[in-house]
Amino acid sequence: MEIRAEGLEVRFGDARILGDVWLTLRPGELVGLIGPNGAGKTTLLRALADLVRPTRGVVRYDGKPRSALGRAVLARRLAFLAQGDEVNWALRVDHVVELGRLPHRRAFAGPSQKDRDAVERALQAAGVAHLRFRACSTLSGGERKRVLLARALAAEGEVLLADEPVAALDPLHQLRIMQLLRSTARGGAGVVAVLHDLMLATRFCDRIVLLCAGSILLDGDPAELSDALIRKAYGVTAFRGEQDGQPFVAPWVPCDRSSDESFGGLR
Amino acid sequence: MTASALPGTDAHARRERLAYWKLAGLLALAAVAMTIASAFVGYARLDVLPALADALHGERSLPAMVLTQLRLPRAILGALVGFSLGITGAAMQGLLRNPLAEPGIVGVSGAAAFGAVVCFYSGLAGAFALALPLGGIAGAFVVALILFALVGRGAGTMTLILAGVAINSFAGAMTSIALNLSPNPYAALEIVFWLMGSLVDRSLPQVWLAAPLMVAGWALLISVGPALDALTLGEDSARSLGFDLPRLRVKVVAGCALAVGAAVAVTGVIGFVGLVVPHILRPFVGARPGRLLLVSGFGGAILLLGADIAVRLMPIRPELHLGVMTAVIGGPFLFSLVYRLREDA
Repeated sequence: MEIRAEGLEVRFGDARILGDVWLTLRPGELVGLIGPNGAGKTTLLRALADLVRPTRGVVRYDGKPRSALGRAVLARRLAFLAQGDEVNWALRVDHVVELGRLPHRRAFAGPSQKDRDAVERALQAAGVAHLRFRACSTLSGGERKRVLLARALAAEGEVLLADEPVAALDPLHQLRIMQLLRSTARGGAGVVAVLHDLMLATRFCDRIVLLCAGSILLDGDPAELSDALIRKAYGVTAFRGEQDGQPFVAPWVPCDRSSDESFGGLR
Repeated sequence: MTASALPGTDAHARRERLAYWKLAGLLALAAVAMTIASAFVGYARLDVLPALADALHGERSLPAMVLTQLRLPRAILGALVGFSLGITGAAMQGLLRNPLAEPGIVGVSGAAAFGAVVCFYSGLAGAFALALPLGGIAGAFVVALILFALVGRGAGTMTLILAGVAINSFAGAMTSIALNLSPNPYAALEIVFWLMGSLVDRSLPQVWLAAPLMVAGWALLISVGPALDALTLGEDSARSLGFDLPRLRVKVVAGCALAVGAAVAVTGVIGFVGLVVPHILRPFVGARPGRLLLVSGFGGAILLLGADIAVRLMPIRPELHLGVMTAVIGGPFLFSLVYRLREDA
């Protein structure tokens, strides 16, 4: 499924969160949505998932607005992983992952063999199969995050929109999840991941969308993420390296002294 | 990799479903048993089986009248009201994702009580038999309309809770005014006792009035099970799974107004059942809100019938009001819950 944002503007009261965003997401692509805090990444992701109503512009799914598609159809085709690790009540891990299959189930029907297979694949893929009988309330933040990713993967939708899927994960699991997102995209799904880690974003993503103050500064190949753009968006200099023939970018030092001074009280 | 790679997964799922239906079946049986037991307990000596035979043959013998006009309405209403309180408590806790939510939190029971008090105060209650329950239902209905209007204007869960606080305070204040200005002390006493909640001296017409409303409320609440399950992941996730949250809120408020409004209208305010029962049963259904609904209904019926049997068996006369009894049980339970929540924090 191709998703197109056409001239999206989102306002919360007087605050303009997104302004005139044009973006196309294609199947088979892992897109890294990056940008500083407050840039509008989560709002853009929520708008793409039809969770926030734009004040202007429209999101089209295979050329159709959501109203023409239907809420239930969209839920079957698009999986959304929210920021954070919210799981209310002491639900068991396999029950949480099973929730990802709700859009595919008839009302009040139990999970079918197909549902159970999808849940099993998701548990294995996210590396949480060994936790399946644990209550989510007994897991660490990182473990819970992986369980929720498994929940989103279990939907086996054509599109996966993931808000900070690797936040709170240890390095091993960050790499594993990025590999998993890339292989999900290689399998034909369109994947968008909101990321803060420039190294992971430039290394694993097919395309980078750099958002700053509600506008897109860059929509292109990771190689196009220049020092100037990083300085403009984040106010930091970048360190560039290459390992095994793969270029990567890492933030290095804050650019201006004023940001040092504003954090002076912390020292 | 498929499920077949992990032997036991399918069998486990089947076993789990079976365990749930076994639990629901057991609780249903226990609720029926308690309803029958309730018909056997009373102040007059009554041979229930001959009385039942008389009643079935249309003989208007004294035992038959005691059974059909006193014991049966009390037992059946106990089961219906208990079920309503249990299922609504579970639905409210699921919707608000808060273990301290209870059926009255959105103001429905306070308004139903006030509606009934208006009937007392205006003298309508004495004018015809069903005035009191009808007044209660009208109170719940008005509040449901107010809450629907709020949801229609995009109100979220927090707004519903705050509106409930406002409605409950207002209904409480109006009830106090009615007491304050009551024409004579007997009327005031009647209102106070009615507010304590009781199943004494209820009639079969009251059962027939309340039962269809309650059953409609239960059906609405059971229909939101999958949506409540999805809501455990938060509002955005539930919406992305295809659930319409305003519609969910309207359904829960409507179900609550029908079930609890009708319950309060016939029995007065009975607290704590809706709070306590979902807590007791939650671990047995893996904490899944959808699966908690039905079993909490049966659990509520068992608890309320048990409390109603207890007030009749205890050597205290006049008998304690049911609302007092459930609060005596529920208060310490709530305290222990708060204590445990404090430890978790």
